[in-house]
Amino acid sequence: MAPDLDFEKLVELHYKSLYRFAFSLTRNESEASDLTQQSFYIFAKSGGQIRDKTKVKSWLFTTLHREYLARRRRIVRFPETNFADAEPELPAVEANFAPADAPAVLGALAKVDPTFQAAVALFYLEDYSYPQIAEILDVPLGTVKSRIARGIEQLKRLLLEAPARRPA
Amino acid sequence: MTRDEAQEILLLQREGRAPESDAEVVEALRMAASDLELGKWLEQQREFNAQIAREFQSVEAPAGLKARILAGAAGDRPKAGQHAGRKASRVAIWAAAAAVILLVAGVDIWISRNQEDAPTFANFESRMTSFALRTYQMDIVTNNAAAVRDYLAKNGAPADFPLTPGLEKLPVKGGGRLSWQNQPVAMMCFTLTNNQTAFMFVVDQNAVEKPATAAQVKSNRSVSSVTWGKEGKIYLLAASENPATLAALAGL
Repeated sequence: MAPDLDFEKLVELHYKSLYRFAFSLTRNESEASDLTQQSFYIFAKSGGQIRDKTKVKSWLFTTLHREYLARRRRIVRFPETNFADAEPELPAVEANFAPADAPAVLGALAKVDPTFQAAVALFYLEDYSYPQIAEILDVPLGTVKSRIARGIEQLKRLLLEAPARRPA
Repeated sequence: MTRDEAQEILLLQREGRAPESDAEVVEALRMAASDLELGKWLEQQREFNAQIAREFQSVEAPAGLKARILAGAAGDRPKAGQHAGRKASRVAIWAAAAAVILLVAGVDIWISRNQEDAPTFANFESRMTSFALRTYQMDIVTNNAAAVRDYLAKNGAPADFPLTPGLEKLPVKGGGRLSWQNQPVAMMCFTLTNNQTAFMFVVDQNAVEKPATAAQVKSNRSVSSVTWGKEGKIYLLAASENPATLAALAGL
């Protein structure tokens, strides 16, 4: 690994955002912590291959997503769907969106099609471009955009259907 | 460009990002500026995205996570700029809610000072199996079983115990060296198919009085356990899992 890739500094820079991504997928603190730790652990063992420190964050996100999927595959089978040509279903101008807090948002995300969840989470969490999100999720750019669009629509529908909750 | 096409493009716009130079985005934004209904939709969409982003970003990492990450990777960090040959330090990880096994024997902060604890098999079993929402610690976090055995051997715990065919197939999570009545206990952790953690404890049978002669399967609301003896060692496998599954993993 390049000498300036100080591990502790990398952890400090990225662990919070990595945890948020993990939590948005799992909605479970212990699982999210476990995934976050595991991602850094894998990086500690094999991240020496990365010479460009600007790639480290996306590498960590990719690793976390891969670990998450591997765990899910043991209990859930994702239906295979080709989204390359999917058209997002957009409503006309809709009613005002009711305020919702983080638990409501993440709870709604949990009900979004699992295939869309990671793309939607990255869309809202991180300042990644669509090509970067596509690289993290290892899918084509068009697929990413379609997943985000459809995921957002599902999220919106779920939140509009839920009773309005006011943050504490 | 139709209104639907414009909506498709504008749905993916995010506040705070650099202005789009994409011709289609520019065209869609121009449409929204002149189309009252589309403009209202865009305003609502932006408000929605901004609020959702705020809620996503409000999630806080639990206290101590950074320290656990650093401790867990201590033995495997890149050599450059790091301490070489550093002993793996204790790593605290949070077990799944409502089904975590508390390891009592040998972990300093949990060990009982109760001198009336007889070294019976029943006490050993109950000590190693407990209830939900506890922190447990692994001395070594790794998916390499050989590394766990190496750690156990170096710390005087049983290390050359065989794994059952069922356990051989499970991913290893890590392990640790505990003690029971001043006897070393090996702990090896596995990830089950339900994503819970299974804990296997191995101790020399001389450490417990009157060890059970036959394999036992037990279960309560939160945790199941299986115990068996083989070649002078006692094995205890515990997890938040169907007892029949654990029994199958133990080869019973």
